[in-house]
Amino acid sequence: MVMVSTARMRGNITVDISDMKVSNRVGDVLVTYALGSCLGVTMYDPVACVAGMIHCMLPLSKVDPAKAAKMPYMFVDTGVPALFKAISELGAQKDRLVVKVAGCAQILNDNGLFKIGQRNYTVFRKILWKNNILIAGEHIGESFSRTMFIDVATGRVVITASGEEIEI
Amino acid sequence: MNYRERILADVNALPAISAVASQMASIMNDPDVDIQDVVGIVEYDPGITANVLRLANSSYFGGLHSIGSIRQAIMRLGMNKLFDLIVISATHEVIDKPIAGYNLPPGELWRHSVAVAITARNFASGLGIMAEDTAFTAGLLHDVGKIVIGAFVEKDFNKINAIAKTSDLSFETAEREIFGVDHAEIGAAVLDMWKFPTPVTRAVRFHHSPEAVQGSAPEVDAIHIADILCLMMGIGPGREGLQYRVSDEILSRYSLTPPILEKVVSCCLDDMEKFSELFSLSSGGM
Repeated sequence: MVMVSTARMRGNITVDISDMKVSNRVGDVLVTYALGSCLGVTMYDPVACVAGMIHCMLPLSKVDPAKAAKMPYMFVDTGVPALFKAISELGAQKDRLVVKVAGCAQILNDNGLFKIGQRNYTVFRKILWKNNILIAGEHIGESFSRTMFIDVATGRVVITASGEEIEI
Repeated sequence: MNYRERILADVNALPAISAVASQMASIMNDPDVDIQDVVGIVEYDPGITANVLRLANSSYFGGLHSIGSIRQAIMRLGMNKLFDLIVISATHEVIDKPIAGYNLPPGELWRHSVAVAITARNFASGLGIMAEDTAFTAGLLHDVGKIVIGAFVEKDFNKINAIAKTSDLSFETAEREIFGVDHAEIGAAVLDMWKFPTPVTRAVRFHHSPEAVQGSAPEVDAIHIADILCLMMGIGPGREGLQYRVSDEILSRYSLTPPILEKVVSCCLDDMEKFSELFSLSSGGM
């Protein structure tokens, strides 16, 4: 008989809003809760067994440069490069990176002014394009609030939204 | 009894708010109120007094650690801020509870409420609209109706969600379709029962439909925008996620642009940090 685990993934390292965490400890699971229009990104190097996660609120740091200097992870354009740097310092290599993204949701009548989620995603795509990296998995848009996990041991990325659990 | 009557009946089953808060609420509209009378009302309750002084000395409200009495709090911070502090002390316990139906764990509605209060005040002061104090109080209480309606939402979540999805309705409109009432109207009924001033009750009542208010009510607009922004930022969204609508009329009334809104958002976390010292709030995750 094949045993199927129904246990839900549980995180032991929380990535807050405008926060970033990296780990190379097998057994660690990084988690970020309640991604609305914010951008959640995981990066994983399966050879070095290094995982990183960031939770950015806003697309561009030019809206508040002083804040960006103090809290670089708040913005996609300052946070995502910081995540590249942090996982590289733990031995990850760009050509092996598995990059996944979640969040970037929107309210029902997003009319442009509030398209923070879509702009977060656009700025993120531009950074990846410049670095020659493809997105390996994503769960974005619509009006969900999402929770994102990454397991350092396996690189599995799981999203929970509206009571459902999806691996991307 | 139909749903609406049953839910409204449950409002009366909520615990009464502290006598200090309801007495203060009823005198807030009186311009001739005497300071000594206010001191007497507040100091009647040593628990509220201690909380108010603790809050008055926090970095969010002043941070000078030099306010030692209710009289000093009134002199330094003013009557409106004193009222905010009393409301915080008097409602923290009830708003801090887990909220069924919306699947909000303990503390999450409080975190959302504080974020909306802070964001609404920042929004109002940033745009120079005279609504800062009402905006804070109303922000703190805008979702108080969820405490009552949550038990009904829990039983009928799938029904509400289905009608919202198939008819492209915002979640509170779908609540109204199913129950004949939504969490905003129930919140206003709670505040009526607690005898809060009309501007606060009105802001709670119309926080999802600000264009329905007759005349100018900037505090309603501030709560509306702040609520949407905080939900988008992931500060306390419930199971219904971002299934809400922003009022285009309000956006154009204040000529809001993405940089203005993003600046308001970027300041919110810092202010929550200052506030969190007092209630062990976290600015991130659940």
